[in-house]
Parts: sequence; C-alpha cells; structure tokens
Amino acid sequence: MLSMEQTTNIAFAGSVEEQRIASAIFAVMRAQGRFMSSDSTIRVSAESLRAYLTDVESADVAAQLDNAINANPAVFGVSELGGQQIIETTRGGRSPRVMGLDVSHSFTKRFMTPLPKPEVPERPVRERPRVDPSWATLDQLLAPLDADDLDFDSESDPISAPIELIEEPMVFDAPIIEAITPDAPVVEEEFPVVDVAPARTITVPVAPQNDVAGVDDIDLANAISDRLVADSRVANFGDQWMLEDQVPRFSRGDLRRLKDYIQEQEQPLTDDVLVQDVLGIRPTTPDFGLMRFAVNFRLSREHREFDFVGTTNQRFWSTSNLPQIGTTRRKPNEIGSDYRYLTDELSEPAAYRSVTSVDHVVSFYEYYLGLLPYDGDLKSLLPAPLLPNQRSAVLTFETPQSYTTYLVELRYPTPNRGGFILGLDDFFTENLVPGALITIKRTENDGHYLVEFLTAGNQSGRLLELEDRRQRYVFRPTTYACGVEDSYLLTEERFPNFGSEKPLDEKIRRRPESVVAATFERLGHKSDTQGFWATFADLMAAVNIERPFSDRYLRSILENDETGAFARDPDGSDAYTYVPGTTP
Amino acid sequence: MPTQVQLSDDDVTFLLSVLRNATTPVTTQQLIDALRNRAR
Repeated sequence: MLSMEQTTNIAFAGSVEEQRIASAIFAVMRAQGRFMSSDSTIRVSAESLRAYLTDVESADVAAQLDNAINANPAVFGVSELGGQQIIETTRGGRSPRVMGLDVSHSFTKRFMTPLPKPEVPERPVRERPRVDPSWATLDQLLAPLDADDLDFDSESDPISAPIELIEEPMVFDAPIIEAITPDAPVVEEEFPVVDVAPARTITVPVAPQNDVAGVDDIDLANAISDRLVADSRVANFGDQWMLEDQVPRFSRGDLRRLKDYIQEQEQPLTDDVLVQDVLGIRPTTPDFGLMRFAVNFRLSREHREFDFVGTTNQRFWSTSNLPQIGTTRRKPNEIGSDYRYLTDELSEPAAYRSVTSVDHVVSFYEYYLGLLPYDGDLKSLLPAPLLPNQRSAVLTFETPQSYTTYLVELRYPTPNRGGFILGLDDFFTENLVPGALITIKRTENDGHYLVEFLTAGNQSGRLLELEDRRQRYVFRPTTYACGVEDSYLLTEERFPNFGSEKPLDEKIRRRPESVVAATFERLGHKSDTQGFWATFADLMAAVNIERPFSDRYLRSILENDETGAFARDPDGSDAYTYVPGTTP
Repeated sequence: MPTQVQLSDDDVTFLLSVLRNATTPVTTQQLIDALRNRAR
C-alpha cells in the first residue's frame, strides 16, 4: 500500500512567536483530525491546547495562545460549546465555514409556488368600420330627383354623342395660395344643420316559434326529419343526429381496414364489432357511442364500398363482394321473381313489427332453398328498412331448441320482385321436413328473432326429396321429430306419381298456370270427362314443390283463369278440375 | 284533415344549438323533448 502524507503550506500571520505557536497548534489539531476529510471541522478545546503547550514548552507560551489564534482568523475559528472555548480548523488550513443546504431556491419549491400569471394588458377596443354618415342622407339627396328626370332621350344618347374637346387654356382668377397672416380674423362659416336620418335596416320577417305542445310525437319527428335531413350541417343516421363537423372523420386507410376486416370475416359485421376490432375502442370508453355513430354515418357516405344491411338495434355492414348468405341452388333474382305475387298481396298496408310472433308451415320449395317468404305475416313481424334505399337486412335467427344462431338475410321487395328470407338451409335440413310448423318470435332487439318448431315423437314415412345429382324427385324413408301440417306433408301414399319425376322445365316453371296444370297431371286423378281433378289441399302442397304459391294466389289462378282450363268441381268439396289442351 | 307541422327557422336554430352542445349523438326523441321543454 502506498501512502503519501499531504503537506500543507500555510503562511501564518502575526509575530514570529505567534506564527510559531500557531504552526504548532495547527500541527497538533491536524494530527487530531488526520483521518478526517480536508474540509471537515477539527474541534479542540482551548483548554487542552494550553495544557499541551504548557507540557511541551512553557506556561508563557501557552499564555500567548489566544493572540496566535486571533492573529490567524483565516486558519482558526473560535466557538463556544458548553461554556468551553473551542478552537476550530480544518486539515486544509482554512477556518471552517458554516455548512448547510441552500434551500432558498429549490426545484420542488418552484413547482409548488408558481409565479403569478403575467398580467396581460387590456386589449384596446378595435374600432368597428362604420358607414360614413353622409351615406345615411343619400335617400334625402336623391328624393328631389324624380324618376322622370332620369329619363334619357334615346336620340340624345350621351354615349353615342361626340365628345367635344375644350382647347381653351384654364385661367385661374384667384391666386391659389393666399398669404396667411396670423392677425387676420378667422371667419367661421355657419353651415346649415342637416338632420341625419337613422341608417336603414332590413327587417326579415321571422317565422314564429311553433307551439309544439299539442303536436303528436310522430308528426314532430317527421317535421324534424324533413328540415334537418336536408341540412348539410347536420349528420344523421337512423334516429340519431349530430353536427356534421363534430363527427370524427376516417382516413382512406381506416376505410380500407374496415373493408378488409369485413372481407376477412366473410360475413357482414355490426358497427359494435367494427369499432372494437378495427378501431380498437372499448365499449366502456366514453367515445364508444360517438365512434359507433361515426362508423355508421361515414360508411353510409361510401356507397361504392359499403352496404348497410342492418336494423335499428343491430347495424350490420357489408361489402360488395361478400359471399351470399343462404342457398346457391337458385339465384336471388329468380327467387324474387318466383315471389312476385307477394308484391300484390303486400300492397295492403301492414304495420311493421306490429305482432309478436308468426306461425308458418314450411313448403317443399322453402325447405329445398332454406328460405321464408316475406309475406304480410312476416312483414308485420320484421322491421322496416332503416335507410331509404336499403335493399336487404341481415338478421339473426336463434333456435333455442338446437342452441344455434343463424345469420339470415331479408331481401326487401322491389316493385317487380317479392321479398324473402335466405339462410335457413341448415336449420331446415337438421330439424325439419317439408310441412313442418315453425313459430318465429320477435325480441326486444329488432334484428334478433327466435325460431322454434313443434317437438313431437319420432315419426317415419317415405317423404319426397329432390336428388341433387340426378335432378329427380325420389321418395326416401325419413324419420323426423317435429310437428307437421298433414296437408303439406309430401308422402308417397298421397303423391305416388311424383317418384322419378324430373323438375319442370324452366319455361313451364315460369308460368304459374302451367305449373298448376302440370301438377294436376302429376297428381293423376282423372275425372269422368277428359280431364283431371284434385282437392285444393293436394294442389296446394304439390304446386309448392316447383314454385311458391300462397293460398290466395293459387285460388285466384284456379278461379280467374281466362282460358277456362280450371274450374271448381261442383261435386267435390273444395276441389277443382282441369281440362288439358286449353292452357297455353 | 290535420295540417302538417313545419318547423320555423327559429326552431331549427334552436335544434342546431342543442346539437352543437351535445358531445354524443342525439336521438330524435331527445330533440322532440328539447322542443317541448323550450315551449314550457
């Protein structure tokens, strides 16, 4: 270990003797504090120093201790402690200074006691530009000029008249600048006082505030909608309103991400899902409702990219190239044409969502394509389109008996096509047979419905099916456990001639009268004359194999046929006859 | 035959002020209530 003594050269003051005594005292005190830091205070009582000097030198030398100390205030300090005089110094040879933390200005204190806000001088009142008062009297000045005075003679048109140039030099009679003498009396010219008319203001007649106390809510809602929908400052979606500039906007990237996400999921998604999954906003955040409105409002403006297919409570959004919901066995347009007769039946007004449940018997046509007709019953159960040009709505049909929820698509009717609900293929195939009775119930949510079927004991029978591969009707032994309407059940016992039959040609299918005629022949009940007869119940079940017929529609064809091929059978109760060769 | 209700400019200005002060979407029913409360 290498140790090195630190030497300190101090120039002591005082006489030679005092310098020597001071040096000796400093050496002793330095030895006392040899392990202390160079600026730590070394304290030794004056009494012990005197004793040391007395022992080492003499009492006379000790008597000069105070003088030596006082002569070197830069090296020694003196303090009192417990009635004793204490001599203080440091190893560095400097009188110890009072050490302490300077807390007069700290960062913490600065934050806790901020400076007062600087006083901003009061802004001077900006002078408003005013119309020169002389303009206020303009009408008075123009009053003497009658309109007759302003009539110009067409012959003396000032524009077409030649302009005469004056070539005479201008001569000033009076000097331009007069000498101003300070003593000259100032003559104050008195101007006539003109009454200044107040500035004219235009008063727009304000429409009085409506008294809405006696107005019905529906009328008031219509009035609000009429005025605010046309106002570009207002954003509207469904029954919600906001100022347009307060609705958050989406970038092109946001819109692309929303579209991509819907396409990834391969099905329409609700606004809730889009806001949470794509925009990353949780339902508990205060902005969730605002962002949901923003999604609905902004996407409704993107007609090319997004389609609204939701309801008031379940706002589904779709894109143009999503796979179709439901069957691919028949095109939606063709199904809509099959249901064209519903447009006439629906012409009678039916209130949307006015009933709580609807019972329905599933026909063969509906079973095969997994659909339901949008007839008067279902119209009174389901919601109206939320948007004016909405063509379809995606609904959820829950089947509590199989713990399954199906996404179905309601196609609203158009002027020449009927409406229908697609997407029930799996539910029908797994639980029902053609002729089954189902009940559809509404819930609080106008986009969610419960579908139930009558449960029954296991039943067996040879029921009609259409074999997809061979495209032929066949009877297959079937076991089912649902309640059925017997008149719609297509058993081999009732309709034996349908076995191995092929579906009708599309040209025949297209004409309802031809389908009815073909059904008479397929049923095969020959009458005494050269024709066929069939009960209405058999006809109703059988015609619905090829294309949809309602009870009312079939009866209208049978009774209002212009060709006279169909007629009511006078012998049978609710039976009809058909004479071949008369239908086109 | 009942006459159709039409909102005046004053009513529309009032509805716009209601919308301006709202931080979340306002339903039609809330606007109707606001109009009725103003009339009282």
